[in-house]
Amino acid sequence: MKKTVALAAVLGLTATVVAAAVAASAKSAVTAFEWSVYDRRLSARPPKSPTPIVVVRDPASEVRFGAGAWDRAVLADVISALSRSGAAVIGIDAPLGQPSAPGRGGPSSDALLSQAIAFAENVVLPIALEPVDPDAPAARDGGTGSTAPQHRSWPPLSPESPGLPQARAYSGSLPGFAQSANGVGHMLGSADPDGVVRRVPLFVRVGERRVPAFGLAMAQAFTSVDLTRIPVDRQGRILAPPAGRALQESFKTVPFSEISSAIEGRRREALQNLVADRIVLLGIESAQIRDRVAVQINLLNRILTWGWLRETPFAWTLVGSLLLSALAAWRWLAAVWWKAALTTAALAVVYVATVAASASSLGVLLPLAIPLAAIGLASVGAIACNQLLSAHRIRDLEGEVAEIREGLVRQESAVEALEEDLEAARAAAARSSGGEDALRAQLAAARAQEAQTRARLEELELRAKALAAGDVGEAVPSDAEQARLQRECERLGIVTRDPAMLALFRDLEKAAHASLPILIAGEPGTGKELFARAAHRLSPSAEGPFVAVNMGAIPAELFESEMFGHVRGSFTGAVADRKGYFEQANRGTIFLDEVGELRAEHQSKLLRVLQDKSFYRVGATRPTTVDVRVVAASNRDLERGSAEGWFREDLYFRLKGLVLRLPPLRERRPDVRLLAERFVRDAAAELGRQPLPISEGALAALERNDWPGNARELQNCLRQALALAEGGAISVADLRLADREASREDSGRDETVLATLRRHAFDMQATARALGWDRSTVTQRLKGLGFRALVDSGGDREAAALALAGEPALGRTVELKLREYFEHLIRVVEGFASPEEAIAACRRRFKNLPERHFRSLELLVRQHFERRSSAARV
Amino acid sequence: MTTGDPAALAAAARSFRGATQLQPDLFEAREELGLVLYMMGDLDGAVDELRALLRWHPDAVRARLILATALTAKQDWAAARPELEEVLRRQPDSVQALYGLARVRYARGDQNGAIEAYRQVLSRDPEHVDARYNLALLLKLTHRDAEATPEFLAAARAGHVRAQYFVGTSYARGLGVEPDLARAIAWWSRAAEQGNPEAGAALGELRQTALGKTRRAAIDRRTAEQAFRDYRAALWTDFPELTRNGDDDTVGAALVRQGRGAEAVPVAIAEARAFSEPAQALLEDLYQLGVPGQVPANDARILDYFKTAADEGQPRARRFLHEISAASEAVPPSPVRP
Repeated sequence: MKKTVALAAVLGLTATVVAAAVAASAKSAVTAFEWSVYDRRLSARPPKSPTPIVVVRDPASEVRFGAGAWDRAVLADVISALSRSGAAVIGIDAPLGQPSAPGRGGPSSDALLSQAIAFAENVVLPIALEPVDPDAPAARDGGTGSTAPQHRSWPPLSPESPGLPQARAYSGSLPGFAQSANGVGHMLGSADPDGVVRRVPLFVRVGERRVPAFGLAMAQAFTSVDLTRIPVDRQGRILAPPAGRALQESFKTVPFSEISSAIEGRRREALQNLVADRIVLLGIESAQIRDRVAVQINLLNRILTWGWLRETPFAWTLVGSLLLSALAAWRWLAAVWWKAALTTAALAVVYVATVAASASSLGVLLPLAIPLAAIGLASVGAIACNQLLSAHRIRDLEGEVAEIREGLVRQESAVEALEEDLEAARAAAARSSGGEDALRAQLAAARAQEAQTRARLEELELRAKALAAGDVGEAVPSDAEQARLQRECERLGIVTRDPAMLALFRDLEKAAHASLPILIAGEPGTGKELFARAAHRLSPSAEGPFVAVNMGAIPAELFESEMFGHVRGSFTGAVADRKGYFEQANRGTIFLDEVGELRAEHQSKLLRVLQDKSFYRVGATRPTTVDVRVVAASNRDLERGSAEGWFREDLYFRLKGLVLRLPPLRERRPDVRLLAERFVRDAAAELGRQPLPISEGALAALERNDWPGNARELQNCLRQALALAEGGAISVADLRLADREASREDSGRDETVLATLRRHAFDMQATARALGWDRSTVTQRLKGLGFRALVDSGGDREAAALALAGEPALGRTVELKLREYFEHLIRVVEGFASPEEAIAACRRRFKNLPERHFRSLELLVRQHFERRSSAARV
Repeated sequence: MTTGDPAALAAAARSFRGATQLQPDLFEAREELGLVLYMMGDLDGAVDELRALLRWHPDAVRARLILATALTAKQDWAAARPELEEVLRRQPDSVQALYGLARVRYARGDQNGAIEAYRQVLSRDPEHVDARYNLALLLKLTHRDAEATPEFLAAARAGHVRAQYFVGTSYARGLGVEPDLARAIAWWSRAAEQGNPEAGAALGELRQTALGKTRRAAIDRRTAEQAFRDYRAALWTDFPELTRNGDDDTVGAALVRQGRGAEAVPVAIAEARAFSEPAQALLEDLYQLGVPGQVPANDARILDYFKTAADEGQPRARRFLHEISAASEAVPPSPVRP
């Protein structure tokens, strides 16, 4: 737990640092992304002051006064009228620095406007300034002090404001209009990395004066403003984003033509009602309020409503991102993937909601990009860690398994050697009566140790298998999930508690809802048809028919007629129209069992139906179209068939939407008990008698048996046992398992043994179980095969082991066994003077070794004696 | 070439252009062509022709002056300025060039240079009313009201309507003169009579103040009332030949008595606008009855006054309009008057 938390913290920290670095390198995109969210929230509930009113140019006024710059006499007239009507403050959105052209009133209109501004006494104008680089020489030597314009409303520099942004005017003196104005403010703003102006310096330094922002100048002309309480950043800037059209819509906006017509129509009262005691901003520059003006309006609005926006300090951003990303990483490390994915998604959604709520209700702008990126990166990192750790754990376990396997081989060999010694001791009972007891004790201890090792090996192998499958949570469904799957299986007639089967069933559940074709592979009797029926019952077309067709049982000449139907008179026996299986299964499921048995020409016909969903009945002239879900099954390896050419590859690909490989019963032995009880109940019902209990011994025997015919063979066995049972319960004897084994395993050829050994990775016990032999017989066979391989390879143990193993992965195991066998052989013959004596002893000792292998043993013994005598001569 | 008839201008342009094609160095034809194109509004064409001419004849001062005028009309101040300066180098007393230079300087933001140029114009032509008015404007724009007002006054006396408005404002606000609201009313009235909208608006505002319909203080109202009284009294000084019959007599009534009815109507309207009740009564009579041989009944100017006064909220004017409206409804209009 502690390790997981520590790893999550490291991942969170790394993700935060990486996210911060990426955000720093892509500031523009990050800012644009974050503000796209903030703007939406801020637009939803912008602070609204009733005081400002914005007068904008409208098409009607442009028709009247022109589309370009207006005659300033018009503006003078409007300012005078607004002033007379009691407007508290009149702001104009243009600096009016340049004189009027003669065609637009010239100095006459300029004088009228100048007079109107002076008489109104409440006009606030912007001034055009350009920012000054503080490091530039002109700025260092006092800036523009000697030629800087001045206005009576501009406060002098104070000691508290040394770091103000600097600016200079384009001219050394104020334009005439600005001299008459009540207030003059700057329109400078700071563009964020995405190019949008959202920050306004509250003051800029011009010469030895502080020039307020235009919005602040208007607010100060209206009311007294406590500047000390306005939150500014280190550069003295305030955050006042324009917030799109919503901000403009939140103000009362009046078209210019309405004002001018009220003035001309002498509607004094209407004008008074509109503007009295309000701040009127005349937007004379354009029909749309431009961003730089919108920022100033927002600043004015925020001063009047005292609704400030605050950003989160960068350090807090990092800390918050670290916590969130570490939490996400911890979930990915500690929980199964879907739970982790849900938690992470919920975390991200809750955080985004918090950001939105915080922006709109508290005015606090929480960071968005870095925390979300950090959550994402930490999640990816945690997933990668999971993979790496799993791979590492698998390697560790595989190493451990290999070690234990080696130990097991040695222990097996020891057991076998002891068994042989015991036999030898029995044979010479008179001479070594005490020795037999000791050997018995050693044998019991060795067997116990071997059993313990084997149990450990099985456990480790299970774990390794689960890990190799990807995720522990994925391979082995949780208890609750398993219980649900079991119930669902039972409902559909599938009896299993095997996690692998349940996982397959889970896949089936998912695939059943889609119209994906399903291909079920497995030995006979593993439940392919049950799964096919389950796929049908879980599919959306469950209400439709389910038609199971054994492809191997259809006579070749009737294939088309059976599958696709025929029309009356199409051939001699066609006395009436007949629907084929495909048509019968319309709007349902067709189960093509033993599809691997199809002949080549029938494969192509089937493929065409699967492609076109239509076919021709025999003798029909029009195609029949069907909507059929196809589930196919085969106990043959169709993939290999497509590679070898006996099964069409395109048909294979058409069928294998989802491939389910049902494990044989011997790979899920715990299910044997469940199945047995179920089969006994079913058989009893069939026979019309009470079901008998199965004795523990019989159950154990059933579990030990390999059931090559799988559940079907088990079912037959139990039917027979129930019919033959005479006692109150089914006993081992009732099962007649020995007869089955005898009939099954009369092929003791070395190839069979070797193939079985290879299949079970040279696990003697498993091989013995598979073959139905006892283990020592298998051991003797392998020993004989080993001796022969050693002879064939000229004593090269590695080559001999590889020849037996068949694949390099098993070479090491086999080599260990060969070494044990050979060393044991040498130990046995070591005390004899001649090879003949030794061989005679070996005949007694290895009496179960097949004669054909004894010749190899004999050869090895002779070679050993030759080497020994030549060594003695040297 | 003084005609403004577009067809005549186009015909002249064709004939001058034909002449220049036949004889490219025909100086007079190209100069006239440039002037005609300028008058037609083809500024670019005029500039091209005159520049071509000046390449051959750089000393053609008239052509250069026309070129500078065309460039000024194009608002190409940077190009116009050297042409004007060249004209002045060749003809230092050219009032037209100096006036143009003043305009160009103002347009380029050189207010002091423009003032200097206007002063030079006036030193050569003291009767140049536009130059004086513009000089006054620039002085006002540079906040030199004490210098501006006398210039406005001179231009106003010479009949410049907007100058009259500014003089009124100067008197109203005491800009460069002693405040005198009655004089302000007099100048505004003169400008308003000639259609100046700013003067009309200023008078209207002052009347609203006198009527107590603005948010101004009571003292402002009393000051405005007194100013209108003073204005009415001052009107008598404009007609020294008239004899006043008591306090309620009006200049308009005196003029009617003297058989000068045509003069009486605008004077009576001015007195009525200055809240003279007798003048309003006189106007009611004049409108309804007229004065045979002097003033016709139903004079549109009088009706216009009553409508304006009613809009401003004067109750007597409203009442009168209501009466004449009711009378016209009660007696259907008849082609034959009794």
